Amino acid sequence: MMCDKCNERAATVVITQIVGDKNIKLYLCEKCSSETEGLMREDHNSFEHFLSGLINVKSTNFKNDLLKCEKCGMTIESFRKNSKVGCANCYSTFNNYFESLIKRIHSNTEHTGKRPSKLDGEIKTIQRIDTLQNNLKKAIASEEYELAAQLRDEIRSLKQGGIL
Amino acid sequence: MIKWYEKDNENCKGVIISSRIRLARNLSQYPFPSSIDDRDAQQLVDDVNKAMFTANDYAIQLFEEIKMENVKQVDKIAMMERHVISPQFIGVKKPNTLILSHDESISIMVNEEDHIRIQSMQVGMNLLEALEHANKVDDLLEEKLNYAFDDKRGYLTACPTNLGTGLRASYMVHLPALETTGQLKFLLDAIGKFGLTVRGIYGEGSDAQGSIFQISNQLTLGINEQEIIDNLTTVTMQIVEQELIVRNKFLNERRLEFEDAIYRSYGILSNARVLTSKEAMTLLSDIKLGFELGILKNEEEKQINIFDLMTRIQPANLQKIEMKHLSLKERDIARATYIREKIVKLVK
Ligand SMILES: [Zn+2]
Ligand SMILES: [Zn+2]
Repeated sequence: MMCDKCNERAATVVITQIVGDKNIKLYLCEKCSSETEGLMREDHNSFEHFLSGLINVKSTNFKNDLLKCEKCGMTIESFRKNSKVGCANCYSTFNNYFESLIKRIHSNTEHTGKRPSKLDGEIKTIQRIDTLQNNLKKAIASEEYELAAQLRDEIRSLKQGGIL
Repeated sequence: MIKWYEKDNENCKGVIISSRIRLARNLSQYPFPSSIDDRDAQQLVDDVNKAMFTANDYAIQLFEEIKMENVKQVDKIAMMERHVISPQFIGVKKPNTLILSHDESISIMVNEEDHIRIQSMQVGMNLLEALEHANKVDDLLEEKLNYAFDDKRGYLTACPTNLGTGLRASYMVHLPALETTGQLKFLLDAIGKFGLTVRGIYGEGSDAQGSIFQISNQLTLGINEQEIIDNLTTVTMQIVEQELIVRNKFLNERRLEFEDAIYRSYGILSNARVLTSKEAMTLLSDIKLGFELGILKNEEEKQINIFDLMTRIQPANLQKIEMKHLSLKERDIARATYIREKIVKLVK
């Protein structure tokens, strides 16, 4: 199968261009696909043009244009140019803006996969402390002071455990 | 040590050459690589090295750091040809490093597009094992480093297309029959609908040499790792099945023409004095197919690793074999000689 554009090389890339609600598909060789602007490509420079296309359309809907990321200085303007996010903080600074962009890219906005287990460790610790604190209240209410002291120490050591 | 791509590939009749997992990760305290300054980048390199190699027997035994600043350009390109590093990583100017397993199946690129890119390769259809290896490294680093992670958006990445799992899973497939009959076009079309993409053997800027393609997931957010792999595997298996059907059809209906084509390719490879990389790839693709269909045989009656040979005849790897710089013309001669010597030993 030959490239739709040059008809010289074998097509290796299927490209989806979003025009309105329609997906238009093109079969291109690597060379032509890298030269084609405004099209969707994975792991590829021309993908940036695709992103820029989205950004140009959508950015007028948000009053983010004057905003600057406190941590890295990224602006919507600079993101529009190189399509690279400056730092983790940018995602919260430009929350609305990315929310819409992410939805268009992934048709989804909620992560469902792996999480750092360290975070789960923290959550477990928080839950454990909650439980212990409830038990502590009960122990005090029922005047079981020895148990209460034990619980208090356990809570204290969990809180000092580093992660919190 | 035997490299991952030198291992025998017995499954799926060689249609699936390899499986690759890539995880994109960033640390919360530094700007992403496009905005990071040299001092932070160096600190990042030190942090990752420390997290990887401090009091960790697994990493110390299986991995080594390769300081990219000391690696010659030709060796970097050779690594790229062996899929150890990405093409983009060659061009990184800021402090960066590579942590590589001795068998080259697992690589950790530090300060590529993201702070950390963990890549894990396996021969044949083996994405789950590749994921397992990548996860092991990921867990190890995560324990000691603070990843940029958000409950809602998952792993935060430099490009919004990698958010969520940060996972890119790919199969490298050899589809000569589908390519020849033009059926690939329809399959590529179908693939887009499943949120998958297809690229050439070396991804960006490369042609589909030797009928080799990479199929990978495009979506990373709102779908978990297992679902990504299952989706990719299901679709890829359909393609493999189609490829095998067309191959059998060739054998049953046009066996003579088919054998003729493969023996002609063998004839050129065992006699040619000058071979471009592209021509060699096309011919080796025929040889690979010839072995897989039992038309060509070798002494040991077992599969031979044509993919390994395909890697070795790439420009930079060829110069490594010859241990000197070669002009384009010299490379084409060296390539023809190298293949000629190998191929006569391979085919009975
Ligand atoms: Zn073209
Ligand atoms: Zn920022």
